[in-house]
Amino acid sequence: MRRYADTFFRHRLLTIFPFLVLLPAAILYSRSSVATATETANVWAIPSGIAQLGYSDQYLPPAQNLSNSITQLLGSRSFDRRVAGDSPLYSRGSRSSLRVVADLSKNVLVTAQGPNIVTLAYKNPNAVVAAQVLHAVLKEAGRELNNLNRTQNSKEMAADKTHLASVQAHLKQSTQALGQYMTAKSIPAKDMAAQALFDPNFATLYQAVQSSQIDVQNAEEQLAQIGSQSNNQAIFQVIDQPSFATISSRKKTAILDVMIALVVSLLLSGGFLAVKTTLDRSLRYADEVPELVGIPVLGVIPYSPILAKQSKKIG
Amino acid sequence: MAVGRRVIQRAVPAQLSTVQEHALSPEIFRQIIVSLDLAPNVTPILGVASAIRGEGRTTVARGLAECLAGDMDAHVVLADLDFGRDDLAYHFNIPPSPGLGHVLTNRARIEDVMSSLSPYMSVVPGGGTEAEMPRLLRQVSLLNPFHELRESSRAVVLDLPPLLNHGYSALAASVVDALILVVRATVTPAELVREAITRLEGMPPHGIVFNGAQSALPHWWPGRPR
Repeated sequence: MRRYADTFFRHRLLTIFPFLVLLPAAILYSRSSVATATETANVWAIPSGIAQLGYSDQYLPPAQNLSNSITQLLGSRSFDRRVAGDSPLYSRGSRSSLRVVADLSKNVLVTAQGPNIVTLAYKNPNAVVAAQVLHAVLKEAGRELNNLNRTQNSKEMAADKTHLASVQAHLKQSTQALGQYMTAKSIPAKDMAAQALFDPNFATLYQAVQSSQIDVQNAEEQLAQIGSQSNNQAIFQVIDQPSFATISSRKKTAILDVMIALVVSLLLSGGFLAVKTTLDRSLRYADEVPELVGIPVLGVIPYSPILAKQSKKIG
Repeated sequence: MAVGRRVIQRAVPAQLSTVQEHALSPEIFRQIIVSLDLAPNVTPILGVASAIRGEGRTTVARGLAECLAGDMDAHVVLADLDFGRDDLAYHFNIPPSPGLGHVLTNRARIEDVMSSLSPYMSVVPGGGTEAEMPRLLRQVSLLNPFHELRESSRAVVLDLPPLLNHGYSALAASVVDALILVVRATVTPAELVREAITRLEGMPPHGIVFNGAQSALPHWWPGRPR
């Protein structure tokens, strides 16, 4: 222990050199790094709304589908431009479209937390800008997904209308055929049920009309259902608005940088001390001479720089 | 060829300056001498050696000789056996040759090559080359020219060559009554010191002079050596 201490005090500058270099370097480095603030928002993915999205995967939970949808939107130039347009402070930096896309697609993180909750986070040196951007992302994402939903519904409604028109035409056709048969056979309307029992032709025509009526009824119901769903079906609901959810990451990074510099300095200094002391086999103290060499000490001459220089000269 | 006797007089304060010049307390050397526990009525031949060069061997030898000369008021001879280096000749500003080398090759007597710095201290320079070192060191052990100095001097101090640099250094150390090993703090590895002692075989050093002791520990550190 004494030898290690002796080595330390003999080479104290060299031993503390790593601390003198690494610690200030770590502090300067952390100061030079840009401060960032992280804003977060949580949204609730509405399952029925998500299911309406034509491209959602039925095997994934709603949150994952929503996360995928928003991530896909963030990669779109038009979407990012609209987000930038909704964030006056953000767009004040006069970013080009490409830079906006690059920034938002990279720095807006969308992660599913569980089956129904999606967290959005955005980092920016300015916390207010970060919050504004997140608000804009949520607003535009909601609008865009609802548009997609309406488009999908419109397509389905158009298909249903076409189907309704078809079955209505079929009903009209079968009703006309039945009417003609009844006129030809002079069958009164009140005897239709009885006539169907013993006249197979009449029964066929009668059943065709009934079947067409059912088809028309079903088509109308489906059309009504689609119509009701398309009226402002929300895809998600914001449950936590963007807030100052995390502390500035700069402080954490600074502490970490200094801790790393401290540990590395300790390792370097300790390693140097250990190696230097271990490799030094010389006799340092008079009291260790008898123990190491087996001969008593007759006298001790203190160090004299003049004598030391003279000895080197004499060699 | 015999060389005429040479007497070189030097002013005492300027010569006996190892201690004052380097601010070394003479008490350090007195302590070393007392620790040796020398026999009182016998002229001791003290050898100062080290494992490797640069440990302060010559400084300790000079300090011991000067201290003995100053304290005993009797003649002390300091001899340089590190042939070819001429450290003592350089320090005391005396001619490096002729020296002990001439004595060992029967070209001179030891009294003739002695440089008398004062009534109490004389220095015998090396007087040989480094190439001659092995032969001269062997001759030291065979001839032991210092034995005859016991009658004329009160003490003889030999500045021996490093033990690990030359194989015959241990042979030269065999002529001494007490061998002091100088070890420099934070320079000499313990393994080298142990190896140097091993080379001395049946003549282990009387003790070690720990040179250049300096603790880097702060004064408040517990167990800090004083």
